[in-house]
Amino acid sequence: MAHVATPSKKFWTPANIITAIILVIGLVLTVKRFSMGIGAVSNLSDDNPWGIWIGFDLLCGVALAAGGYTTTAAVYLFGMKKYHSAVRPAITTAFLGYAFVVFALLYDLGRYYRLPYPLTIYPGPTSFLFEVGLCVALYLTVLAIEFSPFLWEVLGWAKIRHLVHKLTLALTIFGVILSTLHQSSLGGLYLIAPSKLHPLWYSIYLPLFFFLSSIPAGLSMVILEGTLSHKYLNHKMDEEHHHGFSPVVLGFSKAASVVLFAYFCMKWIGVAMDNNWSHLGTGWGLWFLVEVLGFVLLPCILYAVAAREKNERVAFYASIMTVAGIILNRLNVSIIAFNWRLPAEARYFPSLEEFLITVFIVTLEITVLRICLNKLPILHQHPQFRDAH
Amino acid sequence: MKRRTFIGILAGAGASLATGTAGAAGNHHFTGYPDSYGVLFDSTKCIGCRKCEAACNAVNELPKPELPFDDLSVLEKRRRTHHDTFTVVNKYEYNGKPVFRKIQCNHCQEPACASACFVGAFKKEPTGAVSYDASRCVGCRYCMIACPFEIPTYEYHDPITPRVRKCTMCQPRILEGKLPGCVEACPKGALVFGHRDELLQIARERIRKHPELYVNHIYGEQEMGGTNWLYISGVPFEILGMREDLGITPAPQLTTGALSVVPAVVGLWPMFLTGAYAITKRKEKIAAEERAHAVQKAVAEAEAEAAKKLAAALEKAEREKQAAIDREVKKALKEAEEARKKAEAASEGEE
Amino acid sequence: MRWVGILCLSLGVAGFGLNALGGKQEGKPEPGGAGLILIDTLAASGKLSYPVVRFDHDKHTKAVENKCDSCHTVAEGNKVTPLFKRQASEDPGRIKAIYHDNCIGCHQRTAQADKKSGPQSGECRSCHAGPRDSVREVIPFDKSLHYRHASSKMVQPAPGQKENCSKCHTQDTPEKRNLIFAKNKEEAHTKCVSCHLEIASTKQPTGPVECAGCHDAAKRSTYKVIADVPRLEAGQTDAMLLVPPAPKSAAKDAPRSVVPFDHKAHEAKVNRCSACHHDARSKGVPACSQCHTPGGKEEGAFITIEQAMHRPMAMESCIGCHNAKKADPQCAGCHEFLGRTTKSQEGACAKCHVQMPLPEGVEQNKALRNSLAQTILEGKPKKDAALRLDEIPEVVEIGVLSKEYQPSKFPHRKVVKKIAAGMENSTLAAYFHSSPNAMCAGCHHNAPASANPPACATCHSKEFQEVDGRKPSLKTAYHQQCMGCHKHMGIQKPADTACVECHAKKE
Repeated sequence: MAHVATPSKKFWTPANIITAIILVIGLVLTVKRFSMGIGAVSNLSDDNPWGIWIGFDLLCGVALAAGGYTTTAAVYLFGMKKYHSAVRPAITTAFLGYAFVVFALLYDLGRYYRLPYPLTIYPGPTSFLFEVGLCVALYLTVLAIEFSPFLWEVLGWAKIRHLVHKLTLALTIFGVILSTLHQSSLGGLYLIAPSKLHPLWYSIYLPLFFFLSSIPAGLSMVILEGTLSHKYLNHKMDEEHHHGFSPVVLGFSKAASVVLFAYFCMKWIGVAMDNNWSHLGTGWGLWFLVEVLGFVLLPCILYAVAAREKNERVAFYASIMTVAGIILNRLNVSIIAFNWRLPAEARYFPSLEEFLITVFIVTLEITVLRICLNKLPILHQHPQFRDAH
Repeated sequence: MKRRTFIGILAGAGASLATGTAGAAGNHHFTGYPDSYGVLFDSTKCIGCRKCEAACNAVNELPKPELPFDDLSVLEKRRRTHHDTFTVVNKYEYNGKPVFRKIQCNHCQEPACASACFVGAFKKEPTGAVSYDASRCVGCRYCMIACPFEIPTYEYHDPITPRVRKCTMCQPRILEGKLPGCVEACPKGALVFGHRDELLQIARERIRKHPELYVNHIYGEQEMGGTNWLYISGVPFEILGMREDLGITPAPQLTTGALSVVPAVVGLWPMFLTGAYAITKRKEKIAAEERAHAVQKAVAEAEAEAAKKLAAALEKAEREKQAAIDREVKKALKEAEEARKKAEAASEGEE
Repeated sequence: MRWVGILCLSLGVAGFGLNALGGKQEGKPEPGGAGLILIDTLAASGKLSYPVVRFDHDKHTKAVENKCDSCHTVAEGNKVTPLFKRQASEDPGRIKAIYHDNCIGCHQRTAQADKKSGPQSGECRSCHAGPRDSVREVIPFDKSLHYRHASSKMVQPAPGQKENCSKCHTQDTPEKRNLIFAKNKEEAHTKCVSCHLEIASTKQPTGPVECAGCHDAAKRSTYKVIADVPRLEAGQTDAMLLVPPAPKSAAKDAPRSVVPFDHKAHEAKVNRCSACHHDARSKGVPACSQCHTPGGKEEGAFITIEQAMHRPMAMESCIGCHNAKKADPQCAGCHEFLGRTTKSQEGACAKCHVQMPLPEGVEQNKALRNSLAQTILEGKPKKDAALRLDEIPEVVEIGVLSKEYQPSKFPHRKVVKKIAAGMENSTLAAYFHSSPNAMCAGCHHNAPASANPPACATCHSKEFQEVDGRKPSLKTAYHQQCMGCHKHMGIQKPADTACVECHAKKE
């Protein structure tokens, strides 16, 4: 992972060199993927049609980009003005996150050039995937509009920026609706496979689990990225961003703690609902406990501690654990506890090339993010447009 | 109008769906097309000769495998369907005796793949077959995730036009009045082609006539809402690697409940969120009003205070002025008195 | 922050604990040996407050060095009472005390003597461990075993008697034979074990005294089996005429449907008398009709005489036993295909039932009936009708698959010979295959038996189209017939999948 580096006169910093190497490898593999097929670069098989490109790039990518709707909702709908400084970075992260989810999807789709089909000529509304596609497409549009003012500001197109600004409330509400729907429908994707997903993870509440857990995921990403950019991009920040961040961390910690607790309780209701207690005594049960206690309850408590003791460092650790927990949960549902009955030799493990393509996409995203943070008014307000939101 | 259609319209897919296509993947129980065809596989008759595999390969013009079809050594391994193999026969052991089972698409009455496909590439046909239309397929492979029998396969090594591949029940041949390739090739009559309800009758008859030969269960009659490919066997189906825990709920019903919440969210969320926004706004407004009020009060109080102070000052000044006058008057009077006394004393002294 | 630490710690602990749990596989425990007895004497007197006791009898027999009187009262004449430390049943409280005092007392004494011992007081659940499967099974006391006992010089006839039957069949007298050996389990054990012990005390070879000796199939399979057991002489008849009751409306001299039954032939075919006389708890060797009346009654579990004779799935009935015989390899080739439990073929009833007017007085006179039966049976064929082998085609060419293979040469005559050889010495086959063409019908089914049966393609369509799913196509019909017969007759070669063994490759 490349760090967001301090700009210096020198271009070839170690971070940039690593980034460049990854990007070159990624491009080579991309050529291979699109000229020789999915099978040439991945371990996907007839038993395991979905691998880390879906399990990580799509499921985790979308969940971790949830900072967009949670932050905008907090600030614009629930009137938490003091978090205003978090809005611009959150929208940026979300927009890039979704853009790259769609980008990554092109690698996984057999006929990527038909991506618009379900939304245009052949809708299949009986499918949860249809809902995912529809909402992601719409939400990406919403995010693009929400993100556009940063460009207009740089270009100095005051009129159009003003127009977008007027739409803030509608966009926020629309964004929350769309996010609710597709965050949950990513979980809904797996409802159709009760015979393949381990009972501890399969539940009729899967959509609710995914939606609930996306909230702390988004909040944690805001905290995580904010903390990192404070460390490395201090000079880019204006007063508001600089001093407005502490309340954001502590406020978000409190919120994340509450939602994580609700999520924790729901997970157990899910186990009780299908009477899956007996599975807890197995190796799978142990793994489930690791996820639910170690990566839900523990960060929940850490967040509570951070909020109570006003300790931003603990909040930072909690955010790392939460993000790791979300990734673990999504990988469990999509890969680890999926097809759990298959014999060991038929189980899926990503190939090196598959993994490298994912690394490439993530690196590309971080690179674009770095460029955006450096060139656009994201960590500061544009001097011409000091808006009172 | 159906809820799902509503979502379809949301997507700009104005046309409401024909009941036929939605039927097999829709959200009401669909008991199959009347007179649809199926195949009955009788495991007690299968000898594992792989003639069905060979016929399938020829009929579907699939690439020839490395080993010829009369090489039965492949039976020693568990095999599954692949993009170039629509059907395989597997060998299992029961009480030291070999038993065989043919694997291919079961052509569900309410197919999971059709329910999961977001471009409607799968369709339950009136013939009973579940057909696949490659011209719609986007290649997401969700059908493979959804299929409880793990049937659909993918052409992973085709970069431009990969397809999902699976048994077609030889629908084109059925429409020509021919038998499916595998059924025609079976030397033992282990495969019987016919109308599904007829096949169920035959299966029941065989079980009733030979209770010592068969397990009393027709696999596919109820599984996952029923399939058009049916199985009877002399050994428990688990032995044949067939899942007996799939239940009888058709796959589409697994998602209808959750999907029906979608329109509700679309309908209710804006209300809640606007409400939240309104409350926030109102809070802000009240706060602003209260602030203005407080300022006013403070100003008024300050003014009153100032006026009081002024009055007091003026009074004090007045009082001091008066006192000074009095003092001066007294002083003048006193001086006058003294002067008078002086004058009197002086006048007495003159006398 | 302290809480975080505590949570982490407990997570780790829980992890290890659960891992230990997760590794354990719940499976069915191995069944106990034949010596396993479940002591549930008190179950009769109400609900048990503890699970039943698992008691390994053979283990204890070994421990007390075959001294039965350690636990059982041995009455005069070496009669071992099967009850534990008591002669007769007592009240529940007493019984409980007897068991607890004696078992635990003995265990304690053994332990004090520094020997390996069983559970003592306080270790309730070591004995009260609940039910468990065992390999124990009831001993089938077959003809061979019976002969070994009857012919044993150690089993001497009672004074004044020629036969030694009454040694075991204690109620047996020369005038009135009695199948019954023991009223119940206890009496059986008393009789067998006491006698074996007695003989053992004289240092003579004798039967087993430990449980496994009789009740463990593996152990029993090592015993000597007498192949040719001479006929048991117990005054039974050779042949008898079974006369079903006449319908009320029938005229007096109307022909009756009677069954001449060859008792002697059947004796040779079964392993013990109780194969047919399956529940001989009543006096003597009861006739079937004693419990199985035309209307059924309680002693016969309400099974009517008609059902008792014809129930297809019951091994005690004529049809049931004969059906089972059809599963023998030399019969199964045709009979499995014709269907063991399907509708009876035409004229099947007449194979056993003979329509004849009964002479006056026969119904009341047993001896007369038996001799009549004997006469009828002597008229029955003893050998299968000889086939005119020269009249049947030697080779039949089958060209159904001629597209892919050369025509298949079916060695028709060789096959017929082989099947005929299987019935060579079978009186059963001779009795039931009434005409030579009956054998042809094994393959040429569903058509009247004749020497010139119609071609298979007459009914089975050449097109590979199942006519109605019930009637196989020609290809299927041939394969089912040939492969099915080979399978049921246990003929390994050619393998079902070796196509070219029958269908030569086309060049």
